[in-house]
Amino acid sequence: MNIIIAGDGEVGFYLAKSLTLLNYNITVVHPNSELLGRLEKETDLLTIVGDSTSPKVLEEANVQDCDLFLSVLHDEPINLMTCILAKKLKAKKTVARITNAELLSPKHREMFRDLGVDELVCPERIAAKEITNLLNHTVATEFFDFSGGLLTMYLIRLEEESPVKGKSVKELSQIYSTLQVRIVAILRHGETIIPHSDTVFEAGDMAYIISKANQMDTVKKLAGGADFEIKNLMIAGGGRIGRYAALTLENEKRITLVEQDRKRCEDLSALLSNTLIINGDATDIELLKEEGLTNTDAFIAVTDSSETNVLTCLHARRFGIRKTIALVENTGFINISQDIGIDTIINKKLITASYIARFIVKGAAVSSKWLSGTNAELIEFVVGRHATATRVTIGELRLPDGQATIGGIIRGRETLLPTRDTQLREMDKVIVFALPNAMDKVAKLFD
Amino acid sequence: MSTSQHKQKAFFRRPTFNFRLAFRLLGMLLVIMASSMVLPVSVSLYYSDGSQFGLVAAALVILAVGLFLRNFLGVGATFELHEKESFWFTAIIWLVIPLMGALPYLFTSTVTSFTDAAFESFSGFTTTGSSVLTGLEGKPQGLLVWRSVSQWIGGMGLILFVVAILHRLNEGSARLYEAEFSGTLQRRLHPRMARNVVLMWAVYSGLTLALFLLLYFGGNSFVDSLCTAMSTVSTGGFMTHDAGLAGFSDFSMGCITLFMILSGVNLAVLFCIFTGRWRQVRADEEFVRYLIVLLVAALLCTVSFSIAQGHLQWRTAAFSLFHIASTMSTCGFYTASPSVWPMVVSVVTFLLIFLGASAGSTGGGLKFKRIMILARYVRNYFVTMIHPRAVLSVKVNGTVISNSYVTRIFSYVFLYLLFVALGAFVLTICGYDIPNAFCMAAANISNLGPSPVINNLGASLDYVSLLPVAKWTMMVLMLAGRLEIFAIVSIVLPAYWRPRN
Repeated sequence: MNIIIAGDGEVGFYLAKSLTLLNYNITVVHPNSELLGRLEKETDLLTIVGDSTSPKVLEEANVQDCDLFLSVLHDEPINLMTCILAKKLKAKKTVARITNAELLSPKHREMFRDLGVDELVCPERIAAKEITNLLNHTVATEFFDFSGGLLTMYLIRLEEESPVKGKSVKELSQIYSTLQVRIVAILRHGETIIPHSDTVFEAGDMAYIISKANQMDTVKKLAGGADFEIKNLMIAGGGRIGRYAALTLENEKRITLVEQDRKRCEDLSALLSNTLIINGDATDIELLKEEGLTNTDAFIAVTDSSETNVLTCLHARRFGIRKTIALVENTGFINISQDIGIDTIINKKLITASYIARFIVKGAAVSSKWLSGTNAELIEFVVGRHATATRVTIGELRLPDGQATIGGIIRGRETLLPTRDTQLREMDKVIVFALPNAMDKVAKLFD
Repeated sequence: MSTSQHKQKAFFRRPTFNFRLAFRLLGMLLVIMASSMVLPVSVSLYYSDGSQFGLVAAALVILAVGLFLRNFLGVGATFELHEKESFWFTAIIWLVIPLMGALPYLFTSTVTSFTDAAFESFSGFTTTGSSVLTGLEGKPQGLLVWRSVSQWIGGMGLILFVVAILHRLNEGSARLYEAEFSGTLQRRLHPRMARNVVLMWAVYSGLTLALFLLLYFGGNSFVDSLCTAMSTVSTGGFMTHDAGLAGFSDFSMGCITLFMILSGVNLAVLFCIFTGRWRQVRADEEFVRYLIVLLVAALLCTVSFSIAQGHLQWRTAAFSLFHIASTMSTCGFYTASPSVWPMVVSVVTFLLIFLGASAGSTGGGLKFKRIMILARYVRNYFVTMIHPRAVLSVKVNGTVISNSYVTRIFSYVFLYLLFVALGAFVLTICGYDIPNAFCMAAANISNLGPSPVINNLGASLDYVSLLPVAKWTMMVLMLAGRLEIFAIVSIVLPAYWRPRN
């Protein structure tokens, strides 16, 4: 598969690197030769120096043979223009990153499809959505719906008081026989473990769990936590993520938003009607205290600086705030941040990559999620008519050992959690958890 | 060269004020006014009420003056208008037109004193509806029609007439519009100002015609229907009988009440209602609040009347709604009122006189939008006391109101109250007691005119017995209220007349 990425350091390069690992043919287009030189040294891909809105540059990148064109620069008009040109130059599918969430409405999407932009991605909007999801499920630190909410996947932390501590996966299913969950992966000390029946749970484990939506509460109890309602919310940073989050939540929760830039504050106050906007520095703890930091139920740090976000979240935790979410742009920071106690990390690159991956993965993948803290990916496949998987049971299906596991099956309106004897059928939706190098093998089984 | 010579030279070469354009506009308006007299003249000819000669003579004089101004003094006018001049234009037009409009009263010998004629005319053009005429049944029908026509023209704004006709004014039209419809933050209906004004006139005329037809086919006489329709939609309030609207049928009263409520609504919102843009109508915060306040006040009055009377009648409710609609739209109609008049009703009425109608409507008063903006500003002020670094904005319909605009509204409210106080001061000197003086001053600056609240407090409804000085004071208040004060105040400021540079 040939993929061209017009992108910069923010999202584009990360996407390029990750996709190279998955054995795709990547070409990156960017005007800055220095940046591209660095990227080319680190990664096995082709770079082309030039402006992506120039047809000549696009032809140089072999746009006519490209299966997927991703324009994920910071500048929305350039992305749209690039995609329109690429489509006219015979790119099969185009995806543009946008910053104005207004364009995501079905009406506008149709309009852009006619223009040649097949898909629109707004990372800030997805990040804001993730924040609102997390606030509704305070125990979970990552949260993802499959097939419109029939199955949910979440990352949950095993507390000291958890009743399953010290028990193995097998024991868990024996004791709680009515419980239908699938533990797809455990993060322990920075490692990703795909559990088998003898794996023993430890306190501090972060477990990726798939279950039916109605069993989430039981699972949360077993993990030793319970959701609490968030009434007061403090957001540091009035950038796009903070703005979208406040916009979606301001009528349900009392929000205080702290932003340093005066002009931005004024724009925010024009946009938001029920949010208290404070002009000040988020690192000024005295100010945050004055504005009621100690009484807030959740603290969300989404300023432009990852360091500020991590630091202020740490501070917030010291004041006993139970839910803290930090925007961390530097992917290297993610593991460290979780180690030092910030429970949830939002990363725009990961979010965008997750979202875009659904257009990429071979076979009939319908959605996917790249997980933070691990390089593994969760993909939802539709089983094809002549797929290998329809001929044998799951036990006989030779999934790469320790690298991939089936997390759940959605058959029509029904959800199944797989056992060794489950037989997949055509049109089943299968949720697969896989490490990057197993991805291709897995995809072949379902196509 | 001495300064005076310099000034004189400048006057002839490049006048600071575009006098020619002023004469031209004034001339055109007078011609329009003379043509509008066709209606009263035909009515008086039809009824042979004896006023036809006076009316025709007045029309001819107005026409002659108009043609003279337009075709001699206004020849070669450049269609350029500066910000400063637009106020001056507005003020001079609003002084001259009502004065000329007094001629029909004098020529038909309906009133004998110039003060009374001017009072009636100012009251008409400013849509106040305070009247010094008594024995209305005996007055010539043609003249009664003229009274209502003057309100109808004044209700929409004299200058809007010109703006609609003069395509050549371009940005000048927007300035005039702003000076006359000052600070309504009106959303334009059309990108071109001239077309915008035509659409506004269309809504206005449509409403008038609809009410006229309803009243006429509801069994009222031609003159009653016509005059009342024009008085209602312009929120003027001149009536054709001494007893007010007491002789009208229940159906007619219902129609009038409905149209009074509509007349207090922003014309842009009305336009949306008629073109079926309901989403915009529902989203208009001012419209929603206007309706809520109207209904709550009517309910409050119904309850107070019912308690005072000891029983509840649907008539009481209907009267309360009529009374509140009449006050809020600043029509100022009255009818046979209940025998007991509780204090609560008087107080509610008095407060509503200040509040008035929606911005961008033909009604007067401080207007809902202004009060909403001020209330939100004050609320924000209290928030900043608790959160000193909070960044807040005043929003109406999702649009941020700039601080300079808020200060402008504060100055406006201050001037408004000052004018009420000064007017009341003059009235108390003339021998009125304080409550009546304040009511009357407020009713005139809000262009409400006669109000039962005054009646209840003991004064007579007619303005006949006012001393001339009080009458002129009331005229100033009416004009100040109609032109939203700034145009009037700015032209008497010395700084306004100082040469530039």
